[in-house]
Amino acid sequence: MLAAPVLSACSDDSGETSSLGPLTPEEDFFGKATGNFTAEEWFPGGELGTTENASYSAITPAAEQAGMEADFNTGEDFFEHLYTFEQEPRKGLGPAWVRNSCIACHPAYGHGKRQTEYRANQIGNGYLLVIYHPDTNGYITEVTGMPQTQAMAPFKAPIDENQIQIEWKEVTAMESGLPMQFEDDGETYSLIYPEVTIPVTAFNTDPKPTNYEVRLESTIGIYGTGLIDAISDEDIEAQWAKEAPYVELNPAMWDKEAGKFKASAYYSAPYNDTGSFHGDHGPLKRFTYAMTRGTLQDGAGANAIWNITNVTRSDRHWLYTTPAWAKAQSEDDDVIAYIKSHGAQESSILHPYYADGTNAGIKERVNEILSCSSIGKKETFDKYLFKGAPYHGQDEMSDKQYYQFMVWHRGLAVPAARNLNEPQVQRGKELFNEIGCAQCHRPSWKTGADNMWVDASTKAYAQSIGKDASQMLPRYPNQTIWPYTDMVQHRLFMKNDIRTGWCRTTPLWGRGLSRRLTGADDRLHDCRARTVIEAIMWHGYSKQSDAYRATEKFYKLKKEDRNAVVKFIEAI
Amino acid sequence: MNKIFIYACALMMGLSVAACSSDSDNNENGNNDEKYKDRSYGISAIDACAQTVTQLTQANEAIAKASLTAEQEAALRQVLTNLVNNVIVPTYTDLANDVEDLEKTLSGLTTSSITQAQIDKACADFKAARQHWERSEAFLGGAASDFSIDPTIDSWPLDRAELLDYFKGGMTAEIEDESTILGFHALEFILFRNGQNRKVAELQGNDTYTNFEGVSGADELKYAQQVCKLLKERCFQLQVAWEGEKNQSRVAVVKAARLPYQTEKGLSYGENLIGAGENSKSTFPNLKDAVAQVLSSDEGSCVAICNEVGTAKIANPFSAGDIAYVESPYSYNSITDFQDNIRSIRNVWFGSTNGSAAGSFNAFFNSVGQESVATSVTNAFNSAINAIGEMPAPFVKYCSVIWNKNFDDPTNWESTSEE
Repeated sequence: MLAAPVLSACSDDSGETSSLGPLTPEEDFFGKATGNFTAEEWFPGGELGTTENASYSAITPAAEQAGMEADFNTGEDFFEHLYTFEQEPRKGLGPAWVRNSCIACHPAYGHGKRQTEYRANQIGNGYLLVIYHPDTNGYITEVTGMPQTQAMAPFKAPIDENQIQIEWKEVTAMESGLPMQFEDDGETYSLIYPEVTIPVTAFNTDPKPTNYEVRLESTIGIYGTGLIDAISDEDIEAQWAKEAPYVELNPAMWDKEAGKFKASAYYSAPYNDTGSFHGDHGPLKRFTYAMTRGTLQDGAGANAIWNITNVTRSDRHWLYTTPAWAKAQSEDDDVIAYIKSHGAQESSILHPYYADGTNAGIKERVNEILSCSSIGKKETFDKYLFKGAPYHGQDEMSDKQYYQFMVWHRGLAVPAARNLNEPQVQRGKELFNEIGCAQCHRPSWKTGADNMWVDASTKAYAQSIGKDASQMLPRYPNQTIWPYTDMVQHRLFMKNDIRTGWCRTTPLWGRGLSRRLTGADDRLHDCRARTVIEAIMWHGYSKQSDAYRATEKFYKLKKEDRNAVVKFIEAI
Repeated sequence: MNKIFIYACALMMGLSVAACSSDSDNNENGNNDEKYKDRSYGISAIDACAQTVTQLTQANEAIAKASLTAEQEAALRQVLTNLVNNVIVPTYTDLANDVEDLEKTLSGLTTSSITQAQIDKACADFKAARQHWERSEAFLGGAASDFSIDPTIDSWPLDRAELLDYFKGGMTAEIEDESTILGFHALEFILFRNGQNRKVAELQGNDTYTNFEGVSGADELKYAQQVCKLLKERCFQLQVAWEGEKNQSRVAVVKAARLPYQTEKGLSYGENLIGAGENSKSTFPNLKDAVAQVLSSDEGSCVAICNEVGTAKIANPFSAGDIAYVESPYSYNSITDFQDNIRSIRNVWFGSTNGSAAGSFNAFFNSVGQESVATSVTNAFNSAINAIGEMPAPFVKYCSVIWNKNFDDPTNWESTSEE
């Protein structure tokens, strides 16, 4: 009570008191059924996975109720800050890396931003280089699958990023024949796409790759991945089976004859026991555009905190490198000379490469260490990069740190829907269903029991503090969620399309907040779409596209209806 | 003038004294060893931050859930206008001026004629800039966030191994984007050691720091000049991004550095915030979203920085015992930094940097008959500033005594601040 006069004394605002009239409450639509929306559609992540904040970085109610805030907050720190070579609390970067942090690729926790050049240190550049043989679609093996353009001295980065060219080209005509102006009102739209080239001179490997093409793949938001992980394998299989009569499904995943997933659709890794999670098979692959990883605990993020930075942890005692890079480095006179003059001291991070200090010794050791690129080389890794100086048996990322990171990762909430009470948004929902968008952007799922696979690092930490590892991460059982994806790979046949052409339908939840939260709203796998309209129209670039008919119908809508669809997508 | 106002003035004076004497050790602050063993100070500081978060969240909700009249909307738009013109732009302008001063000071330094007075001037410039940066952290939303300024100029810890590689490699590597060896912490390493300004003799010869003995002061100065130039460009970017193309020479610097400074729709961030609305080019579809971004958004808002101070900057080392999370454990400046972060909330709430509250959120709540909201928020951040200041300094010693852990690592360097 005393403070109010204080403020007046401090300021000139005393005369304004009550001059604006009282605040009267607005009608509150949030959380209630409205028009063609049910009450639960305000909560795309279900009760346990939705934040009411307009946010990509909030903790889920599930994690909060489980009392995990402190670990969530610490875990967030690993995402938000940069890694270093050897400074606590974020150390272990290198010897080669894709990025030095998570935030570099996930600006403001959201989708990557369109780039005109490839710079690993440009925060906001969410691109991975995808370098593959066009005849087989297989990745080149001279560099890592997620290629690195950074390395610690004296090593030369596997790829010299200065030589990478990204050229943005304009679509002059749609292959499908759809005109580039809308039928009803003549409004035009334009589409651009990237053409990426890397000359062979950019590769610091031996041998150098031949016959390759380059694509870009951008990050998408991270929020809600815990909920996606909680959908049961059986429910996803049922969705694939439902679509099988109507569209061609990825033969690498789907057994058309048997009407079920192939064994290759289930995840396993040589370095853990995911492969026996369901007895004779692992969890269904469901993460990344190419659906390459299953279970969030060995998913894209769990992998990235290791392979993007090359920060090793107790269950990853090997490097993300290739023998071709190791060989080139070991044969580089500059590399050998530098290690010879800087690696003698035990405290030096180059000491493991120093060997006996002779040129031949260094050469052999560099090749031996840098080619520790699989769990089969764990013994060599342990000898030089774990037990030896300067590491002395200390992991770069501790089990506790990794656990905290995973609490954060699995605990990221989906933002609540917005403006569902607006007639335009309701009209948009009607059209989204009517013209067929919802066939692939399946609105809703119910999660399963969410009895997740748990990794060895989390188990080791659980054991060290006497807890049950299966209860230490946020869980989302039996939640009705609204991600707007069918969890199926489709093909759009776009110009300079994604590698293999198969791409998992991207969830749409929360994307409407992108411009507000990240400053950008770039969409599609390589950020080629600058607006929602452009993203939609790319779906109709080719008549072969699984989404062509729906796009054609969108194309024929009146402007107000097109806008309604956009408003709906921005609201969910 | 009443007692509490006097108290507030005294508090502010006390704080500025603390800021001037941030290098003083704990004995000068009158802390006795018993105080270091008392957890209650840290708990109170964390609680006070949590309380501030609660009050700010409630303040935002009061606006979010109201059916605003045209007059109330206009008043709130004026609040945002004042916030931009009287807090955000001046803070970034001061920051940019300070860093420009630092650059001028550094560019005049050569090892043949360098004096201690010149180094001291550079250190003073640095500390001034640093304080303005701390006091900008309640409004990281917008330009700082969209252009990823924070990780670019305030990355910690400095990657000393990488920096050593850079020196050993003859300083030929391109470091423009190497955030781990750029920004404030890089400059601190060159300008300060043991919490003290560097000694002129050392810069005239070689460094004495472990592993850096082969690095000359001349090279370190050259490096500092380069780091400062890049830092200046980023600070100019913040100023220009918020105020628009008003300062032509600074706009030219930003353009020459190829740094973006507008929203995707070509607005300044000031225009973007003030112009929030359905049919505008703003990234905020309505005024309430803009208000929420300022007050309570999860990232880049008053709530966000308050949460970070309470649940991360203090709690990681204090509650969890992870001493490595004290970002520069020998700075002895942590507590002032935490307080400056909370002061940035105060400035947002009062719409000024001098305690005047006309046309502010505070005034708005008074003028809609919700004086209790104004009072609760004000009391909460004042209590937080106070409670943080009550913790025994230096913060790292407090944490290490509480946890009985040794933080004395000879390979760590000492700096003056800890972001």
